[in-house]
Amino acid sequence: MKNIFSGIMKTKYALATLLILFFSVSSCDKGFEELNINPISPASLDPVYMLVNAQQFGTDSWHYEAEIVQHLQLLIGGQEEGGNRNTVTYGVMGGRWDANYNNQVKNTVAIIEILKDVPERSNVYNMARIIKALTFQWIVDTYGDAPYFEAGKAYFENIPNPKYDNAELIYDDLVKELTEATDALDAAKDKVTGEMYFKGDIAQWKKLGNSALLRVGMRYTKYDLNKAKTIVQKATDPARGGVMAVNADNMVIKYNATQTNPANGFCSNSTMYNWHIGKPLADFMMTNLDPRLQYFSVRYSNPNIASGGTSDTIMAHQLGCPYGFDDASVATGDPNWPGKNGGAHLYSLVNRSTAGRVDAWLYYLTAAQTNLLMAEARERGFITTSTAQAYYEAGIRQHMLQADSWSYTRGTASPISNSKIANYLARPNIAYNSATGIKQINEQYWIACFLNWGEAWANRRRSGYPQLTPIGFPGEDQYVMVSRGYDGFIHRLLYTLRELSCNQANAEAAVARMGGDNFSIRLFWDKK
Amino acid sequence: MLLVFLLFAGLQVVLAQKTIKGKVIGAADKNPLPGVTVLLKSTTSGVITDNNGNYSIQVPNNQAVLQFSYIGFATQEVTVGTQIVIDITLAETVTQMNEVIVTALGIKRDTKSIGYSATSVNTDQIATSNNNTNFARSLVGKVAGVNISSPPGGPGGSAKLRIRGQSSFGGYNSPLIVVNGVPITNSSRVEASDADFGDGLQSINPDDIESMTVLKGAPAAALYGYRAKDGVIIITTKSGTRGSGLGVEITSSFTADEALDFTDLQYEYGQGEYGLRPGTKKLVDGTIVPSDNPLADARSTGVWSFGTKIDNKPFLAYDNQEHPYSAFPMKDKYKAFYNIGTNYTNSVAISSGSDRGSMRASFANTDAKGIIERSEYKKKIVDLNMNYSLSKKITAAVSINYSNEFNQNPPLSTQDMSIPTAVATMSSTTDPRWISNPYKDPVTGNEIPFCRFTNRTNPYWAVYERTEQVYKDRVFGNTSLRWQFTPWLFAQGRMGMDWNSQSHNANGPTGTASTPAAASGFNGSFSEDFSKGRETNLDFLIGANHKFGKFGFDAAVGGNRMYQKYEGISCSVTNFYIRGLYTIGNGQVKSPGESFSEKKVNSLYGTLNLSFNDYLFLNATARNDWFSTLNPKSNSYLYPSISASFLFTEALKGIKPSWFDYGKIRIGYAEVGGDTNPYTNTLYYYMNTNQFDGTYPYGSISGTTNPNPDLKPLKVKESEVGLELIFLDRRISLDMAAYRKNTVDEILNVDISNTSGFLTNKVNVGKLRNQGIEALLTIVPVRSQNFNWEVGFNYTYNESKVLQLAGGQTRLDVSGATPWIGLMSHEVGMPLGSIRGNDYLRDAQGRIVTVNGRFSVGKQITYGSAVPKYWGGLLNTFTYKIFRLFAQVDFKGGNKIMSNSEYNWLRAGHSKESLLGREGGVVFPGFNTDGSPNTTAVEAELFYTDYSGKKVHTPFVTDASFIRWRTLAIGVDLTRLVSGTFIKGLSVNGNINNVLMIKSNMKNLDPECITNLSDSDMGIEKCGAPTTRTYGVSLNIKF
Repeated sequence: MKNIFSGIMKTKYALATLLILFFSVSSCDKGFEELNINPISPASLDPVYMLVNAQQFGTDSWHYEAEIVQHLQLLIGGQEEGGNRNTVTYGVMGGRWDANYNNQVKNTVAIIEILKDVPERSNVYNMARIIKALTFQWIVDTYGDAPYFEAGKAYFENIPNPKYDNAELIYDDLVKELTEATDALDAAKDKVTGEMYFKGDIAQWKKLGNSALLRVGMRYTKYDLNKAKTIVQKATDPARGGVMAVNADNMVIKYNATQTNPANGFCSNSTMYNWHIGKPLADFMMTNLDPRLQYFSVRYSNPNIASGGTSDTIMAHQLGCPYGFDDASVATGDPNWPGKNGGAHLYSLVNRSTAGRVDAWLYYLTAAQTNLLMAEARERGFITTSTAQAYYEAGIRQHMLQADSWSYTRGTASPISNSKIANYLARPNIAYNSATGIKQINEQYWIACFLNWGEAWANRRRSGYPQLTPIGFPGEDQYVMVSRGYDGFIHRLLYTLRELSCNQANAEAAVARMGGDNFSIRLFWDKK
Repeated sequence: MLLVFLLFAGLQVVLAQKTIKGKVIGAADKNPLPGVTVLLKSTTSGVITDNNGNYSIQVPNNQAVLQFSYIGFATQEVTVGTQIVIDITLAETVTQMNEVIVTALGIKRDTKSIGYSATSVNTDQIATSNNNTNFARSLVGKVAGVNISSPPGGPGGSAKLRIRGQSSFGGYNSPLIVVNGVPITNSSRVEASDADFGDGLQSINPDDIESMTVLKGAPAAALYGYRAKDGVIIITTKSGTRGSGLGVEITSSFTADEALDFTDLQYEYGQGEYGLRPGTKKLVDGTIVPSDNPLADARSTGVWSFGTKIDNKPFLAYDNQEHPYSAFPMKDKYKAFYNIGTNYTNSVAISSGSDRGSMRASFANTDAKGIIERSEYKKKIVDLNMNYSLSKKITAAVSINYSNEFNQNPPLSTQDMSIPTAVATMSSTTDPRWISNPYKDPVTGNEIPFCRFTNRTNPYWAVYERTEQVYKDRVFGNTSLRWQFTPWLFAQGRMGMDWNSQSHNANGPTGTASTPAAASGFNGSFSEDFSKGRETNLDFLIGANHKFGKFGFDAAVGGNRMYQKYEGISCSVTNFYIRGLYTIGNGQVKSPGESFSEKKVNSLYGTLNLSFNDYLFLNATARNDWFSTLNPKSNSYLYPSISASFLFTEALKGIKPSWFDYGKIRIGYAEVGGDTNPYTNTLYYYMNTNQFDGTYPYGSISGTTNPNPDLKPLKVKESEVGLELIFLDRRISLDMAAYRKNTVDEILNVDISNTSGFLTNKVNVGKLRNQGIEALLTIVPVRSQNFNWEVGFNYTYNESKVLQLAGGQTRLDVSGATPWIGLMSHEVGMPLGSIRGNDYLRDAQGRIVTVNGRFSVGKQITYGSAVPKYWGGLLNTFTYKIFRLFAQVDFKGGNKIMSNSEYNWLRAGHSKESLLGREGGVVFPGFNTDGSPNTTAVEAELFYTDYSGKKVHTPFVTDASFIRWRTLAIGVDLTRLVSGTFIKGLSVNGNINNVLMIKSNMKNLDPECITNLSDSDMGIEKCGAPTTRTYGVSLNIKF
């Protein structure tokens, strides 16, 4: 009996102990706060790492931009439509908007917010300002008015839906930001060796800032010559560090086997046989025996397979694809139609071994472009140093040399030789002639922007060169139709459907201010 | 709390004057009944019978009244008088009014006393009609209020259960699963691919299930607090019977699965594009001449049926052979491509019981092959259940379930590598066997695509070159200790754990045509991940009950500590050094990853039941949860419930008509909650695993959701009323419920402008309502000695309405990305789950506008809800002597589907609708902008391809309602044949699942073809695997 009793008591104590254990933690949430800290994610990050993230500019909206400037031409429709047919395909229109806001704007704004009161990191801070300014120029050039002053501040200032700012006001601020940030860069201050453009070389960064400012200034040539001149003079003032001159100065994203060029998947993926070289580009380069063509263009015997069968880069054999046709009508509409192999029309394609490589480097602001802008600035009398011809030839030369970086040997074997460059510079249409200088300069700028199609498009809208023929695709959007009084070209891309739905009020205010959300709306600097 | 406990313990008062002894046995089998409560009436003292049914109790005098009560038996009262030995035979309660049901926390209660809807599932019906590797699929159409769908996800796929609609805007609204009193996880841990790797329920062997209760609404589930928003499924597994000898049970089953074809496509025009068959091309002057490369033509047009009229003349096909240009219907394609799926399941169980305890151990083995070659599923389950009485008052129990699963190549849907898509979109004249011959280039080893659009992977390449595997190990179970201090007071403690580990790998084969070339080495990819998860629950419960005359109470208090931890590592690689070796080490570019999450929820709860005169019952519960995932300032939430039950037939005993057996009204209200994820209230960063160009490290802000430090869990407020009626000696019974379930404080990821730096804000503002009725009517038209016919009809009507979204938001888009069409949204004022898409551009009069004969895209519109509004089943059971026949017809409806198959079939010339305009072009019945009718003809392929380019979705939405003859099962109980031998039971069952589609409004598809498990995508059909008909036989032997 006693044993049973003690047994019961034991069990009672055991249960009581269990209960005490259960509530041994005095409150019901002890240790909860510590538990809810993610042990594998950092709560802060060195802004340099975010700067490198922002430095990785990606996809130009090649479905529109490359086709609008008639570098590339697709014959197929469906989801691949865009500039090839002058139609609205929302699925491919917002590429730049999404890529730039989700990465460049998000990261540069974060860096600026984190470092605005940290003078010992002023160089990182100012580099972020330069990248942010570069980004916004492309956003504005593509879409017009856009969120700028309030952008990227959902976390920092609790602004979930930023208001849209007037494109011209944004441009004014870009001038201010590029000037201030470039001037504030100081080699004596923090070293930013971890950034991937110039390993923190302040002199190079100043050239980048100034070249970006030059590009901004030159956008005003149709709109406000005096303003253009003032900005260009500021950008090129040698006391402020000068602009890019040689390829070593280039702003380039060196895509590689790990980080592949996001735009170039198309040259080797399921639609790889579609990426034809546009007829105007092929013709222009063939007419002038341009040695760069082999880096751009190829004819494959079997474009349907990754290797392409046999590759033919002989200049005389290239055949650009004309505009205005679709997959079916090109066979009857183009007298030079080369026939098909399976699903592939046998026109020239983007060369998958060079410019179309998955690891092709992406040039966003180059010595070639800068020299050509300088040539125009000199021709217009904005600047007085050197000659327009010298800048023009330097631009072409730098781009000829740059083209080789797309080859598998990447500059180590035999870039385009000096004699070939000299021959080219002496070609009848190429040799510089001041009377046709601005046309020649901007035709070269067009070529120098291969793969950097957004810039090619903006510069064409600004300069009017090269002179291209409207594609006149049957069934193109009404806002490009020549028959309706438009010029046949897309002047601006449309806001994304996502913006029109989540940031509706602000987007609609911008649309009202601009006079519409369609292809015919022109940027303030894109005067008729 | 401890104080209360000691107080109860101290109440044990003994008044001793005379000792009564006796034995309690059951009326039916005359077996002793252990655990019967013997109570000295009107006092708190009492004893319980031992394992032999014996008891001994001291009574104060001869006027004392002993009360014998036992769950499932009618309570008896005896006045002691002069007796000293009182043996009692307790009669089992026969009517439903005294059935016992397992409710929340494993508490057993009389059904009459509960004021909410809790349905006990007929496990026999599952046993005879089950022929699935996931038994939950067999529940379809059987339980009112529960909507079950079985996506065609292969033999190891999931079952989707939704009780009383979907309680939140989120994608996961699955009920809580509780096994033997302790929660287990049921999430489908779907990996990066869209394959279905099954859910948590399939690690339970259906042969092990003793009983299953569905707690449908919040009042029933309220004691689960934050886990109760979607209802609870309570499973109790078999644990042997005390006092029985050794028993062995063997079940063996075999099933065969055949792909069902519902298509009615066109077979007038064959493979080709723009009106040309492979091997021809059109010259500039319009004349058609032989192509330079007919083989390339054949291999570039395999998914288009825009060729010429089928004429049976030879042409050079994909396999470089001449074949007649003849129709090859889809049913023949299915026969040529899909195998008969098979599933062998064998299980053996051993059970035994002594007078102190019982145990049962079982083992089940499943070996299944899908309809697609190399798609297989293997499963082994070991289950062990033991209980033992350490003393008269203390019982310990252990239950352990171990499962081991292997799943290879469950079918994919959508595009790349999707075998079903490739088969379904082959041209009208293509025999899939041609495509296999060969499927890879003998020289390069690369895929030979069958169309120029290489994202439509050659299905044989996908079958033989791609491998995806999952290995899962899982152990869940619990141990419990229960101390019955006195007949009216008990305490119990439990510890439960659900531990699982999973390894998953998948390759992207080198040479796949749609994979970009590698910068160096061989293209392709491989990924491997390991993850493990653990949930532990530690709980206690102290309960007491007593009767004071006509009043009774039954109360319990308890607490639970829940801890969850998930961790995983993964690595994916691309570009290989050595061809064909799919390992992490062989990859040139490696991207490792890791995941970790941890959370705790502590809870305290109590329940109080009051009864009056056995016909009026009141139940109140409260639970408070503390969450580690929330801001410490506001991490505590209270979840109350109250319900009542009134047996008016009992109250009106004297005056009710005799045919009115039973009548009960119930009413309840409760507030329960949802859960939140860890780490959502702080901003985190990440570092990229690879440096840029191998030199520059980089990182950024984690995630695309702006963190919210003040998040709280959502709340569901539900009220329900119910009525139970039984007439005519239980010939007719009806159980109905009506409920209204309001969800508030929904956590919404509200889309914000991506120019803000984030894509979404997390906020607590959503409001949603589900309301409906559910009814179960059971009729027994024939009841005789040899023949019995029972008809069960269940019906559910659920109406959902989105009441509020964030701020001025009128719509929340929730669907995932798809390469094709369809969008799912929740819209204020509309039912949950709107299917949206783009309409044609229309003029002011609503007529479709055409320009140059072609339509354009107009406004985005809502087509309807993807959530079924009503569903139910008609279940007939006939028993004739040893034969049992079960037939089930079920239905679902009131919802819509956006079909990507229809979209692909129209845009590529497969559907009958695409026949319009093959000769001379499509003159679409639209109107030009000036209002005149369109007269311009557009070449057929160009016209139909516009549906993809212009993204007009209107023609691809259809009503998804259906009526289906689900099951036919015949069982024979052969026990009599073997009576007198060592065999105690023998039965044979045969069944057919998906017997016949009785009514469907879809032209070419089974309305149950939706493969998406998430509620965010549930209305968008994406070319998944075909649904199947299953034939099964099973044998059950008991020794």
